[in-house]
Amino acid sequence: MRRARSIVIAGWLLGLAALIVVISRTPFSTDMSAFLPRAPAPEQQALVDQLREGVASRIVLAAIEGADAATRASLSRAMAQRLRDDPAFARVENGESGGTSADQSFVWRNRYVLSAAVDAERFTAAGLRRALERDLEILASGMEPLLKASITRDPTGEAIGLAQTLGGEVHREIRAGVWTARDGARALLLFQTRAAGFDVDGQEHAVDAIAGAFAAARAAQPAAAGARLVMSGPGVFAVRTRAAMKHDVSLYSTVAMSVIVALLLLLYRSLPVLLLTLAPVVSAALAGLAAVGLCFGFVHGITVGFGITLIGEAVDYAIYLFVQSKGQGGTATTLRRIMPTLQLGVLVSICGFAAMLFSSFTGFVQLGVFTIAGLAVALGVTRFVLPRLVPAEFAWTGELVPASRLLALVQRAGALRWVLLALVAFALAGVQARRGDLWQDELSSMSPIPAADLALDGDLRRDIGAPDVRYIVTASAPDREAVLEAGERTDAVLRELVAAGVLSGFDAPGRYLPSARMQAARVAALPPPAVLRTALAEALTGLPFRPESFEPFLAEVAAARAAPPLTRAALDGTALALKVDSLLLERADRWIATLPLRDVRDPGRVSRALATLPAPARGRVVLVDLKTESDALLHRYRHEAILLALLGAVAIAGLLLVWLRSLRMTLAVLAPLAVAVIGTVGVLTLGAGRLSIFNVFGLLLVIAVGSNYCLFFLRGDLSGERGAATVGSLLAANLCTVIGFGALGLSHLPVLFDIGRTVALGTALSLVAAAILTPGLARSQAAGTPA
Amino acid sequence: MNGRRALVLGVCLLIGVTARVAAGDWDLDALMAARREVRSSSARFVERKYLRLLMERLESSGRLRYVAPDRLERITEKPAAETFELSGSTITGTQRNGERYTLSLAEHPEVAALVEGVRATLAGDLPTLQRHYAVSLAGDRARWQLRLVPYEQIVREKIDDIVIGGADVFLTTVEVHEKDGDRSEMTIQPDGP
Repeated sequence: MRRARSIVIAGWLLGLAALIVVISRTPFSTDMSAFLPRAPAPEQQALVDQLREGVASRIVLAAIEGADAATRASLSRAMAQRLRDDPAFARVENGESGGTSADQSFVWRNRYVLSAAVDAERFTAAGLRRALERDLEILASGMEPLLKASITRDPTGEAIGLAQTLGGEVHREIRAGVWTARDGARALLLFQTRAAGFDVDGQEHAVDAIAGAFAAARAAQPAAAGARLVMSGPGVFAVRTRAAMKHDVSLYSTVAMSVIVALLLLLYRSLPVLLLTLAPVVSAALAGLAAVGLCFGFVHGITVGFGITLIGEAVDYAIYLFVQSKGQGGTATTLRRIMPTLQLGVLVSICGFAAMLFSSFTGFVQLGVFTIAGLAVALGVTRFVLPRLVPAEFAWTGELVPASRLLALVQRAGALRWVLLALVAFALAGVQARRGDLWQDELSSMSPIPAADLALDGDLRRDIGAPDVRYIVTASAPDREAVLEAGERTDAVLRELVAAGVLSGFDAPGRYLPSARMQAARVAALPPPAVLRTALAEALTGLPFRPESFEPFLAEVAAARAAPPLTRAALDGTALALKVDSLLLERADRWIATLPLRDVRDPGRVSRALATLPAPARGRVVLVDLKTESDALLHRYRHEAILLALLGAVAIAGLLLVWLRSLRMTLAVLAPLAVAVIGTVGVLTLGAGRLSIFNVFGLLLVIAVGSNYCLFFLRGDLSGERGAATVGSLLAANLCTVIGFGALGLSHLPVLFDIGRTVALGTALSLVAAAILTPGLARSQAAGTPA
Repeated sequence: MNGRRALVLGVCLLIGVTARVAAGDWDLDALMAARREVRSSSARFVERKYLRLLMERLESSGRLRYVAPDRLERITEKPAAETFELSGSTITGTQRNGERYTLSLAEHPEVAALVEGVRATLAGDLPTLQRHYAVSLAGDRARWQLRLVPYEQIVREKIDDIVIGGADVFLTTVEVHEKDGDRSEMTIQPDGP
């Protein structure tokens, strides 16, 4: 016996060590896209891609406020100078030159293949004549100092045209040499990170580098003491959200843990028993993490965060064991008595959480795996290890003062069933009346970003003229050339729409990297040297230009005709490379081109115009409204969550029916849970409250935990000292859950707030409902069913 | 401001300027002080450019407008209508076809050197002038010549000097001599009082 005991304990400790080894080798990820669907529709894939790595996801906007304009400008220059050398940034813009010369040189060298204006007519005598006449006007104008040098090399003005197309038409206010908000109160900077938006570590590094550069610049200038830095952008939000999540989870779980520990100490008045109570919890958490690590190769940070939800249930097992051992002849006897109930309880919970395994969101599947492995191990430790850690004759001797009074209450609670049913009917009516707007329908409702931060983001975006991307056109095709060609056909359609005022502008990957076919067509439009020379001579007739001035032009056109085609590699070292890479994405078996639109006034017309395009072979061109798609994504999330919750409920009902072999007994377990769910939804939607997807997952937890209460009321002996101990243990277990999750409900982050409130309220309600309904329903059946 | 007040103010300013000149010689400080009193002005211009690229001179004409302290507008009427407006450190232009463009002076030092020389003179902003150029003044109040020789290497590679001629507080000519031999001469005719 003693030997068996040592073996079990040694095995347990070895097991824990093995779990720790597995966990230590598992990378932790904070990629929020684990909570985005795995196999979305193409439109949603576009959204997911944009959120993950699109150029918009890499933008950080910064503003310097306070101090005077000259100081702000010099801070801006000092920051930009320092950060331009930082490899974390692909682009640093503050209104000064610098960082763009590689781009300008790329555009200049490749102007004849990049310019959409290049066609055969442009290089005929008539076309050249028009260009030269325009050049004369430029020479006479205020632009002359700027353009004089380029006219003899680029008389048709391809480079100027490209500068205007690529630079966008956004007006930027420059004061004291740097970019400034229109009201003059802020100096503005725009950064593009190399790290993608989903790479929160990379974003954090970039955000820290910006803050560091500002601090260093400010420290170097005595006049800058009053200056402040504000930052915004998707990466900044991601970093802040993660920090807030970390902070809230660790703060509130510490609070919850401390209160629970204090409560248990008060209950047990024994430190060893308290520690033993935590043994199943710790084992469960380690097992859950290791299981997720083994199944997925990584553990998501959020999964870890939710690990504390396990406290809610795993801590109960030891409480049931210890508290119910009072006066029952030791833990071994107690264990034998309560084990069937606990086993069924765990099976019920696992059934409920197993539904999450079918989710299309990796994050939720991880949560399911985590919880199932955790609960199974918690039960195993309670069953096999705990009894061997305490002497067989150990029995709790503490006194739950209210336990006997509580039992008396429970024994009379059945009388309250009509009151309870009336309240349920009331809650149902309330929910029914609100069925039109029961749900939070916008993705932003799940957003942890405070409204003030969003307002600042809007301000900075307007000042900087950064695209506020809502509409994008996506083209997909099997290979890069095909998708570039599809993008170019789309480009032509969109240009007509811009001219018609349907939208004010757009961007396209083909502007920086034209398809091979387009490049060939443009090169073919450049005449052979002799032909061009003749055409130029004819065009110059009667104009005051010295004909020999244009030798550089003739030479450069000849060079452009002979140059090898432009490839993606030619863009290396320019900011345009990153732009192309973010507009042109390679997926498993296909390429996707994205064309972000600006200021769309009539999306219907854009869609109709795109429909006239011939679709690329095995590909498609569609207009994507990211707002609609993100809301659709939320709907999908929600439908799936509800479906999974229902599936879990059906599985639980089936299990109970098979196990208990009695419809009435099953009902005795399910009725209080239904009451708890309805009551919780009723309270959550009171007033203007609306349900989020997190509430749904919270309800799943309520069912998993609450079913244990019902089972004890169903199978436990509710009389005498044993009854008092059972009721006392349930109350203690529930108090721990309410405290644990109630603490989470103090957070301002929607995910923690919603789940915390739902579980705290729902489990308390299920305890009360179980006390009122279960014994009555079970008793009326007792005569016919063997115990 | 109504006409009468403007007139009174103008007279006062004139007396002030005259008083200062009477008290001392016509020097840089006096010219700059006189210019600082001018809040806005407008004029017609004719510009002739002599470029190696061309076999004959190129002439353009139009209007100039200045609003203290930093706004300068050039509205070309011939040979083609276009505008060119300097405000703060930004140039905004409108081309004949209606297309607009924006330039940052910081990004185009050679353009900055040209426009800043004229604008700082109009504004009577000697510190700015002296930051960019070696400044020398010749002549007297009735007929003076301000010569600006750029300091910055990148500008010196393009521009030898800018010579601004004037009478009293008015600018009457702006000549730009470029390194490559190109030059431009602008004659300015202030709108009469």
